[in-house]
Amino acid sequence: MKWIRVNMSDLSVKVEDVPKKYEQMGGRWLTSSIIADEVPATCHPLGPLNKVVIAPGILSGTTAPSSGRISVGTKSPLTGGIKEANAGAKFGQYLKRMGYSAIIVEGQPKNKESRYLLNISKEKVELIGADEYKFMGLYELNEKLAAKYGKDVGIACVGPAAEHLLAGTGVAFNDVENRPARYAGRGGVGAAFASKGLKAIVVEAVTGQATILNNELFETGRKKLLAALQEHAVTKPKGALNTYGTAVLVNILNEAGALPTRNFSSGTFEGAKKISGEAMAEAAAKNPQAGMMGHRCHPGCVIGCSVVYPDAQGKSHTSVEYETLWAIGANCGIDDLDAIAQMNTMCNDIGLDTIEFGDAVAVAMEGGLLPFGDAKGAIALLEEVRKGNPLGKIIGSGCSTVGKVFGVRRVPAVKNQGMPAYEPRVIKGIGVTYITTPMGADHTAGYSIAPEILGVGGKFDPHTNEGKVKLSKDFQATTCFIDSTGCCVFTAFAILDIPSGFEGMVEACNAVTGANWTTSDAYEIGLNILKTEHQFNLAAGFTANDDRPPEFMKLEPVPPHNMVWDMADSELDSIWK
Amino acid sequence: MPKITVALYAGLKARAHAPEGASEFDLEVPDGSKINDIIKFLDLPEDEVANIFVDRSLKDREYIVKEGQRIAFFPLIAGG
Repeated sequence: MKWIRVNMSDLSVKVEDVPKKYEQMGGRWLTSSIIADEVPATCHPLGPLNKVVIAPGILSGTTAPSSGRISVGTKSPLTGGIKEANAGAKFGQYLKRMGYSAIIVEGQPKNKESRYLLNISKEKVELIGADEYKFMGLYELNEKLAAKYGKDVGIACVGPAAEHLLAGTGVAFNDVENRPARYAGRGGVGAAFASKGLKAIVVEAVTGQATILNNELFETGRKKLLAALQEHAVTKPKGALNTYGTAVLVNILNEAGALPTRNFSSGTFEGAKKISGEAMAEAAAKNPQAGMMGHRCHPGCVIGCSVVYPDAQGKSHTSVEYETLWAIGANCGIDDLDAIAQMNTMCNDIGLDTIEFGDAVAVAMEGGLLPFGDAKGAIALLEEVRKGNPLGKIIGSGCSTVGKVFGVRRVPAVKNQGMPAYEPRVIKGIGVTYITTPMGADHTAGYSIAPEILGVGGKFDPHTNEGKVKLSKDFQATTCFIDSTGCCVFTAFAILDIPSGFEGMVEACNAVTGANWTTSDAYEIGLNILKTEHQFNLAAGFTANDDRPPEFMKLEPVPPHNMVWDMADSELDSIWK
Repeated sequence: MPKITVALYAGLKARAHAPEGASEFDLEVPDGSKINDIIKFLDLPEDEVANIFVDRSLKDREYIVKEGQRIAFFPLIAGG
């Protein structure tokens, strides 16, 4: 395998053989290893010493089901620690089929006003001047790039908010229909990407299959994983994810009293039903021309959890996910599905992470900038972000910055990253994940919601602390491995309950890499990735005091359960022992 | 006869013997009714009911419902 190393300081592009140490790595394993090895932990995230690594998973580009994830790694402008964010997109599949396991972007152009585009084709890899796309919205950009380079190309790009170097921005990848709707969203990876002077990376469409060393073993593994995904009630065709999208969670978290509402001041939202997956499915059924349930973020996904939501005017919005509906909806006290969908599309266009944006607006609402429930006011704030006005820059910098500016004490963040859509005072295991993951508050890092609320992968009482550190650690380690395979984290729902599915995933990885891993080895690999990331954060200056919840969660009981965060700090610290 | 509120989600509405296909409705049940009895009364598909919340907390099917409680039924779902 080869990787592409782009130096933005001298505008050079090199194709290099992948050193032996990294040969079997993919996705998060590869991005975090390169960042840990090559980036000085104390460097400025927006400076020339930071790097951005983009890596498809081990199985990306093969016919393994739902394996088209692409990881973006860097030192986070939001948290100051290591970061990996991933998305499902054809981009990584093409890259891997072309024989590339990563793109490493380093340095910084002398002229900060210049923009560049990296064009990757089968014949050559070249940096091209791209000043004409400066501050362009991403829907227009994707149209222009598809017109110029071909409608099937893969695109990675950053919006105007990232070009303003705001810490609440992500990297957008185009979906199958060429919409900039698949986001490696969290931690300001967009700002890190933009700080390199890069506006976009275009990769030529490549059909076929990435290199596989043992086809027979690959087929065995692929079939076992596929069978698990097609059998499990959550991931199967016409199953819960396929029918209602990720937003099927709105109602169950609300019924659990754990749907953070109005800046984490309550666990229930009276408007939950209006912003649920069931409501979107109903709207899509009424207008199938503009709406669609079961959309696939990348070719080869067998789950199909993405949603194209049709608003009352018949405009399509892709993809309106649970986290977005919660962040801009319940957390801001907004129950207008059309307004949320509009803001989702605007975030996609501007380049913002919808979770961080929703958290930032909710904190601003608490700070008195606008009232809870003010959808029009929130939309106006998004326009401020696009323009890069001072207020927009504050909002686009994330909820921790907004809290400081507006003197708000109730800021739901860990390591400066805004919390996602689960109340940690009520669901203790996800709280451990938010607090201890090297990523900053991140639900995908160790999704203990599965056994704590959903009854998937076992059952744990969400309200108790017992066993939650181990539960979170096991989920975090396993997730590190899954994030390295290129498989969607939702494959975990099936393989948690159907062990042969996980065996199949590992066998398929062995077939691609030539390794001989067992499922136990996969866990150990994941644990080592986690330790690598933790070590980077320690070297960056983090201490145990960064593995702590926001203070208000220890002091303020959240209704309806009226629970506080009551786990001892020493118990949290035991995760690293 | 305790009066309870029933909420049905994610496709269970279509599978239940519920008043006019409502997803949320009040119901009077005999004293001592267990959640299992309500599943049977509503003709919910027993193997598809996965999670049951009573007043915002998970309960099993043997739980005896009380006056004024809210009972929410879900099939096996997940997301993120």
